[in-house]
Amino acid sequence: MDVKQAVMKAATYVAEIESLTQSGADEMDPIELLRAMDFAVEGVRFDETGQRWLIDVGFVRKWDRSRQNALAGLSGTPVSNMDKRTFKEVIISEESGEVVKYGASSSY
Amino acid sequence: MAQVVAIDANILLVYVVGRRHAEYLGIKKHLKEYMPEDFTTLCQILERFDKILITPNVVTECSDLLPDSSEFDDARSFLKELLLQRRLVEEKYISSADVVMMRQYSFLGVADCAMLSLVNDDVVLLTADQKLAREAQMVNHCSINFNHYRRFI
Repeated sequence: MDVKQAVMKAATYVAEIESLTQSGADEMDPIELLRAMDFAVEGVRFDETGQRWLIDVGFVRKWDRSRQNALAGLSGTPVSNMDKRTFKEVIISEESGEVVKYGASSSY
Repeated sequence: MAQVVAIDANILLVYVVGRRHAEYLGIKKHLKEYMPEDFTTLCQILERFDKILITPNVVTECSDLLPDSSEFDDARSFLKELLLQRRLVEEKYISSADVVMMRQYSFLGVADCAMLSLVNDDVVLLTADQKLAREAQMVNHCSINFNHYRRFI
């Protein structure tokens, strides 16, 4: 497997998992869903000993989008207009090509 | 004012190998995480800067990552040529004793902390290591996680 294949596998897996929990997401094309989620690859590492790909990804779930408007902070009340980004680590076996682990990224 | 970019060992490795054998990216040892297109992307990023900043730790690590086989003799030669271009590449020594006192030493290590210490208002860091990129962006928000520019699809 090369890095492109590994990243595609990870991205597809994330789209499949996230489409289960976000309403309307299951009707979207996976690439479309990933774009809507501001999906990005944060890091890629190949573990030579374990023959595994460790891919760190980040994305924003629909309910984690900031709902604050641009002027919300004028009242003096602390607000955040930043989306909350989720970071995950996808581990893929080089031998089987399958995702063997999907969980919180150890880098964040 | 000169635009300066500090780069880590893996970025230097991709550049050095890519300049001679971009086809090795994705195939050879220590290069599996990369692809030939990464060299093109890297060059496009580096073109924005006037000077590259590195540390002895980065050069040593890059040299160690270059496989011993004769296939990489020309990449080793290019590394030597690059280091001798003093107007383009500046090597800065950072004391390890100073580096281990940094807060980030507990999760970044000596080489990465030395790179991080170079980042300021005038120097950005280019790395594919997300932890290092994040710390560098807290100092200079223009620092770059190389993965954000790579074209995987």
